[in-house]
Amino acid sequence: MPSSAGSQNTDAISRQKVLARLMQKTARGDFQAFSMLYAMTSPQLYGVMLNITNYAQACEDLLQEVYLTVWRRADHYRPQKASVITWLVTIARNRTLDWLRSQGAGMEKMMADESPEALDLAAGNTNPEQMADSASRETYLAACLEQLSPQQRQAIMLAYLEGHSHAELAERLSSALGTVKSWIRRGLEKLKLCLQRQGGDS
Amino acid sequence: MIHLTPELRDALAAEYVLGTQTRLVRQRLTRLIEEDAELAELVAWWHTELAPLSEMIEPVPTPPWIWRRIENILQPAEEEPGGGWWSNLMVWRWSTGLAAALALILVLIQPPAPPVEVPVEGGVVLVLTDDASKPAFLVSRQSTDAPLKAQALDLAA
Repeated sequence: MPSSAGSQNTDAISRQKVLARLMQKTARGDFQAFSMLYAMTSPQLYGVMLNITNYAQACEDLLQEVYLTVWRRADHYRPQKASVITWLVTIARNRTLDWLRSQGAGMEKMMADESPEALDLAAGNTNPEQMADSASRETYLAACLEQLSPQQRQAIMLAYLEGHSHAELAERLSSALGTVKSWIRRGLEKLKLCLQRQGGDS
Repeated sequence: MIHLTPELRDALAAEYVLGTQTRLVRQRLTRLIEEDAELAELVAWWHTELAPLSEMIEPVPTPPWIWRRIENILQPAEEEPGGGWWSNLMVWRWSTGLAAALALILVLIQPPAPPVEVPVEGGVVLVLTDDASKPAFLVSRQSTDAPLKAQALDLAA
C-alpha cells in the first residue's frame, strides 16, 4: 500500500504533467487549454501576489497582466528547464515585486516585464528528473532553512513570502539595516552551500 | 560591462530572487541578466530552489471577473452571450450547493469530442487527452474548497 507521502508525490507529478501538457497546448494557441491552465494555477499565483502586496485591486490587475503575458509568451516555456508552476510563480513574483518597488518611487513608470530575459529567469538548470523531484526539493529547502540562525531564517522567509525590501525588513524586525543585510547575505550563502550538498549539485 | 566577483554575482542573483533590492538595483539587474547568461543561470537556480516556499502560501480563489477580462481581451469576438463554457465552469467554482451535484467532462482535443456526463461523487471531472485523443489525465475537484487534483490515466501513452 503506498504511503501518504508517496501518494502525494504521485499526485504532484501527475499535476506537473497535466500542467506541462496544458502549457504545450497553450503555446500552440489552444485557448481551452489556456483556460484550464488558468483554472489550475491562478489561485496559487493570486495567493503569492496577495501575500506580497495585500492590495487586492492591484493584484487583480497584475494577475491579468501575468496571464496575458503567459498567453503571449507560452512558446518561451522550456519544460526541460523549469516546472510550469515555477515558471508561472517567477513571472508573477517578478511582476508584483516590480510593481511594489515602483510604488515607492512615485509616478515613474516601470519597465515592462515581458522581455524574454525576464521570462527566462526560471530557466537554465533543471531537467525532467529534477522536475519530478519537487517533493525532495521541498524537503531539502526545509532542512537547509533549519540550519540557519533564527534571524537569518526569519529575514529570508519574510523577504521571499512578503516581498519586503532590505529597509522594510529592518523596520519590521526592529534592527539596523546593515545587520539585516548581513543576516540575509550570510544566510543565503549558507543556504546555497547546504542546498548544493543536499541535492548533490556541484 | 560591469565586472562582478563570483561572490557578488551570487549574492545579487539570490537577492534579486528574494526581492529585497530597491527598484533601481532591480531594474539594473534585470537588464544585466539579459546580457549575462551566467548571471541568468544563477538567478534561475535560486528561483527553482526557493520555489517550494511559494507552496507554503494558501491558494486564494480568484474573482471571476479577472478571467472574463482576460477572455474579453484575447477572444472578444468569440464570446458567447452566456459567457461560454468557462462561465458554466465558474458556477462550480463559486457556488457551494451546485458544485457537489455537477459532473462535467471537458475534453481538450481538436476537434473536441461531445461532452459526456458520467456519475461521480460530487465535484467536477475533466478529462485531458493526449495527442492521439486518448484520455491521459483526470482533473477533479471534490468541492469548492478542495484543491484541483490531477491523476494520470495512462502515463505510458
